[in-house]
This record gives sequence, structure tokens and C-alpha cells, in this order.
Amino acid sequence: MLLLFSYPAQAQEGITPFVAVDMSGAFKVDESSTASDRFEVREAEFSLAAPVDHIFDGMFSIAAHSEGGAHLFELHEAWLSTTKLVPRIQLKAGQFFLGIGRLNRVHRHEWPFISAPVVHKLFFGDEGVLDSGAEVSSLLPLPFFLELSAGVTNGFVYGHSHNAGEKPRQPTHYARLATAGAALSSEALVALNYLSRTDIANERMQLFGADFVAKWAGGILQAELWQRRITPPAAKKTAEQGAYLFTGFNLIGAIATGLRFEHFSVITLEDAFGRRVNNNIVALSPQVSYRASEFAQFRSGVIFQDQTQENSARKINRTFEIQLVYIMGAHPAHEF
Amino acid sequence: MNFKSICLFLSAFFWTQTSMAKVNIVTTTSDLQALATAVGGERVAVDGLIKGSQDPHHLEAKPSFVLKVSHADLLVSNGLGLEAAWLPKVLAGARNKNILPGSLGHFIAAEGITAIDIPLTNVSRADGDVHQEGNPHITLDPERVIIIASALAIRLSELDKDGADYYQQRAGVFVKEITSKIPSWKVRLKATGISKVITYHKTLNYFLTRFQIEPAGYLEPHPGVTPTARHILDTISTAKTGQIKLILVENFFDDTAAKRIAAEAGGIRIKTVPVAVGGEPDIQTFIDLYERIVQAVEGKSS
Repeated sequence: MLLLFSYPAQAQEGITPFVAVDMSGAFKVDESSTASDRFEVREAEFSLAAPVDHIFDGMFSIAAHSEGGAHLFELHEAWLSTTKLVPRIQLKAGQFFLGIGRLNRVHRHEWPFISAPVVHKLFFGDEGVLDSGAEVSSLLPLPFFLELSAGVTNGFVYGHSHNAGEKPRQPTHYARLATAGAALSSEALVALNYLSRTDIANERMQLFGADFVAKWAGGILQAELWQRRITPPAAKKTAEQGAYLFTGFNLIGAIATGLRFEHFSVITLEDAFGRRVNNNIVALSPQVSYRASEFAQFRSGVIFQDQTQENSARKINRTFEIQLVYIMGAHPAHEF
Repeated sequence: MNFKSICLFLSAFFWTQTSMAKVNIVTTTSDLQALATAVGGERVAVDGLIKGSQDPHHLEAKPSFVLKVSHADLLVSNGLGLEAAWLPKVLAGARNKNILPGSLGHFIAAEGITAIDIPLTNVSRADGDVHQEGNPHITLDPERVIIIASALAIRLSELDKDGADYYQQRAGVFVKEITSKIPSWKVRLKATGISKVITYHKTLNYFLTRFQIEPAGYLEPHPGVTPTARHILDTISTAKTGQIKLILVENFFDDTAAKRIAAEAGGIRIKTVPVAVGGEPDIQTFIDLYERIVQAVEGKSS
């Protein structure tokens, strides 16, 4: 390990090692807040990427997450990919974050805000869904951008799990269709997503979603809209949906600001008489960040969350968040 | 989708296919776009990723970049780490094995060029965004651009053998045009009496070094780091002791720090200059670009 850390960026064999450390803290602003009142290393990730040979590229990363105060390294991603076997096709196999949505495809330390929106937390976990399997994606040979991806993974577990899980009736399978366009100095990408898995108990989960990101000089607009349908073998189908919309822009120099709006609701929530129960989680999260360079960033923000449900007490959650991210080693990739 | 829409779609599709009868070149920078156009002429279709008015360091792997590179027969990149932050992602997204590094379809302009500003010791992030392999802004030197044009003509000849003579002839014309201008630029710059300048970034170092003008300082405390109050004070001192008469600010950077230094040190002229072909609407060729920088040093208004 020491030898790996002594490698300079873009070192021999084309290996690009880097370490990303993501520290964060969440603090109660009012008594009803569920914040941990704790600042800690949320995640420390060590990654290596390099060509394996003349055909394949490899990626390997381990990450230590804070889990109950302990930081234990675990395998994050380990995959092999190639664009050299089939024209216009990328093949990928191994363990990876599933290629759907926006946040699930981007490492958490690269997110434009501190913590996951409610809909992402509930459908993908605090960080994202990773699993072992294979993914194929193609940039179709058209005069405009149209990218089609599909993947199949074990599906023994879903989300961030520490158990082996059980063989599902239907493995996790997903697809994403993305298109993009540019106008003036801005560019936008929009995608439709689908994911499904049927577990050992024959409960089927389906995710339908759309993600959108637009960027222009010093600004970003990002949104995701998801609906989850769960069909148990002998019970009523449930459906939940949520969305977030984030906009951020540079204020002056290294200072940037942002605002996230989000909504979540259980569509099929009913009372004992089978009547639909209105329920909503609405949150507004302003933030400000200082970016010393592209390798070090400090961010702070407040989450104003309001949870209402017909015939239930209103829950208000005010949380103050801070985050410090730094990256050492290879130059981080500037992904769109 | 109605009949008209289908026709439009098919027209666009077949237009793309027929345009590929030419060598489809995609360049990372607008300078390389101008160079590929000059050398390739009618036998090539050239598209660039970066506008001349953009700072080439801080870009992202945009979908439009990926799309263009996916259709390329030849990718012309600068090298020396200029595109290191985003080009690998573009290449991965484009899924075009013909233009991957090491293939005939990927021409790196800096290969075969002697770089300047190579750090004498190992550098770290504490030194800013320093390129270990040397200063990547090679196309600001007319002599090096000549070398790149000749090398590009050879690469195009390998890709399109029927056009070998054509590319060599056009490269020859380009080289002749640039070469004929260099002596007069030298004379004019020498006549200005300006032997030292301060610039924002190290963008102009190749140009300045070629014409015996010393880059005496930079507004950035470290490459890629915006000017700090302390560094501005240091630079005011440098300007006074070095009797600096001119600050050149690349036109995609803010000139506020330059104005402060000029006001404090006194007797300093500030000129904002384009540093790439296309950096301003009327900068269409390398001769336009070099001429504009020469005029800036001379103090002529553009």
C-alpha cells in the first residue's frame, strides 16, 4: 500500500492513483432534527485506474465509510472495461455503481451538494447502489447524441449491504437512454431510466426515473424524478415518488452558492378504510461553498424539511450541514 | 413523426455519412482547428472542441465533445497535459477505437516539440496546476507551429494516401506564410524596447521567449490559482524593481489584479489579448493572432 501511495500522478504503467476524502457533519438546528451532531470522515476512497493491456482498462477502488463510528475499508468498485472489442460499444464487468440516474453514476464526493436528497436515500441509499455484474453501453451512430446503456447484476442484495443476500428470482436489471444538446455556451443531458429486481420472496421492485443536468459558465441545473413500485406476492402494490431540483452558480471568485428543492410522497398510502392519505416531504436546502481549487472544497448548508401526513402531526427538521472534500493524487476527471 | 420529420432526419443522417468521405478531423483547441484546416484544405472536414475564447484547462467531458470525437477519423490534441482533465473521459465516452492514443487516428501536436518551462524538480499540487512535462501552450510560438504543421501533413498523408501531395503542398504554403512574417515581428517587437512583461498565466511564454521578451512575473501566484492579495503586493514590488512597462492579460482571465498593480506601480500599460485563433471574432488565422499580440506589445489599439 505504501508503494502505491508513493506513485506520482500519471505514473508508470499509466496507473492513475488518487485518494478522495469526504468529511461531513450534520447538526441539529431544532430539537426535532434527526441530525447526528457529529463531524466525521464520511468516506475515504482510494482508487486506481489503468489500462490492463491493449484491450482492457481496469478500475479498482476501496473506501472506508463511517459506520457506527468505525471506519473499515471495503471494496467499492472493481471492474474491467473496453471500447476496443465492438465498435461504438463499451463493455464493463465487475463490481460497480449501476449506470442509472445522475447521482448513482457519480461518486458522492463529486456531488454538487452535501447529502443525498430524500428520494435518493430511500431508493438508492445514502450513497448509491453498487453490485456485481455486466453493463453494455453504446453511443448510437447518429448525428445527435443518443446513448443506450443496459446492465444486469447479481441482485442478491440491493443498495449498500453487508450481507451476502439470497439469490433473487430475477436479478437486478436496468436500462438508461440518454440524449444531449448544446445551445450557446450551455449544454444539457437528459435521460430515462428503468430498473427492476424480484427478490427471493417474489417481491418485485421497479424504478422508473428521469434525470437531467444542464451546465453553463459557472452554473448548473440538475434534477431527478423517480417512482418506485413494489409488487409483493400477496399484497397491494405500493408506489412512491420523489424528485429534487438543484441549481448552483458561482458568486464571486472561489465562492459558489446553490439551492435544492425536493419532494417525496407515498402515492398509495391509505388509511384503515382504504382512503388515500395525503403525505408529503418537502425540503429546501440552501448552501454555500468555497472551492480553493478543484482539489479542495468546503461546503455548508441548511436543510429545511417539512413532513406532513393527513391526520398526523407535522414534523419539521432543520439540519445544519458542513462538508470538506479533498483529493490527492491523479488529476480528477472533469465529468459532465 | 410525420413524413417531413422523417425526411429531415434521414437528410441529417445521410449528410453525416457523406461528410465522412472527407477525412473527419476533430481538434481539441481552436488553434489546432485552424492548423488542420490550413493543412487539410478541401480534403478534410474539421471541427474543434474548445472555442478560442475559452480557458482550455477547466473544461468537462461534455456530451457534444463525446459526439464529435465518436465520428472522428483523426483526433488532433495538444498534449503536454493540457487536456488531461477531460480528454480521457471524452475518449472513453466516444467508444471510437480509431482515435485512441497510440493509434494512427490520434495526432498529438506536442510530440516532436521541445517544451519549455519543464520543472527542474518534482512538483506537487502545492505548486499549483503545474504541467510536469512542460508548458503546454505550444501554439503561441510561430516556429513550433511550423513544425506541427509539417508533422500533421505527414500524419494526414498516412491516413489519406491519395492526398499526400496535396497536404504537403498546403503545409508548405502555411509554413511559408508564417516564416515570411517572423522577421518583421522580431523587428517590430525589438523596436518597442519592451524586454519584460507580466502575464496572468504562462500562456504567452512560448511567444515571449521566441521574441526575446522575458516573462518577468505572473498574476497567478501559482498556475491555476487566482491572484491573492499578498501575491498582488509581491507583483507590485516586482513591477517596480523590474521596471515593467506592460501587463498582458489573456482575454479569458479577469484583469482586476492587473489594474491594481498598474495603479500602484505606475507607468504600466495593460493589454488584454486573445491567445488562440478564434479568441476574438476577427482572429481567424495564426497570422491574425500573432499580429494582434505584436500590436498589443507595440501599444496599438486593436
